[in-house]
Amino acid sequence: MSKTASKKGPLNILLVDDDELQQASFKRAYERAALAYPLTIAGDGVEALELLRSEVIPARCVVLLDIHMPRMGGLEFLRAVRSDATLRPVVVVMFSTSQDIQDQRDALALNAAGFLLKSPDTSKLVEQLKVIDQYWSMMEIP
Amino acid sequence: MARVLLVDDDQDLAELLATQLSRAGHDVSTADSLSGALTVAGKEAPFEVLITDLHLPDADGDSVAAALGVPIKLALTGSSSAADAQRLMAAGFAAVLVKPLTGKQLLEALARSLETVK
Repeated sequence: MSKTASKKGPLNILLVDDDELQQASFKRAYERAALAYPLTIAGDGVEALELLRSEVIPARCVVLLDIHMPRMGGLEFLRAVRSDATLRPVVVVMFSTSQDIQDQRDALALNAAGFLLKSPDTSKLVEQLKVIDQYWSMMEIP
Repeated sequence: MARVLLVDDDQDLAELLATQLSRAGHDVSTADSLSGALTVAGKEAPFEVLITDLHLPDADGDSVAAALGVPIKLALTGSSSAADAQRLMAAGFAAVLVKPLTGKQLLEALARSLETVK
């Protein structure tokens, strides 16, 4: 007899973005979308890695990752996550204004779950967050 | 520090941008349309800088710029087309800011435009 695990806890959302304006815009959309998941914001890849490695944020999380940041950018962060066995369950969705095809290819080559272009207005950002919510609430993440 | 009139019908964005500008020491007023901007200008002019969305409910950005006569004009747009940017610069806009923009992009563009008129 096989056992099925169905013990979904809260899925943590970690936004990694260095820009205060983008952070504020995201927080506002997140509140409007009324997601049940806890939200944490990191200012760059270094801070995000610290939060994950110290287990302040559990590895069962979805990271929304900007690309261009000081100290450690998104792709460098993604390489670090993929080379760390303890962070293997971390789901990373790129969340950027970059329309550079190479950025998108590099991210997908590092097993990013997707590439979401930041929307210029709050209502569209709310829709994007609701899609993320619906999609990941249907996924079984142990 | 500059006196800035920010015109955008996306009230969320206008509020967030105004907060960034205020934190950087600028004196900011906001409006959500050309008619609103004219009302604000009537009460609070003069402004040194106009930052305006190009697609307002009652006007386009060029009309707002022409109606208000503020010396430094920055455009907010959702289009990243080089042709659009060139047209706007030729029309007298000091910078074209493509949404979604970062706070750094906003403040740097404003600082550069203020520097050029010194």
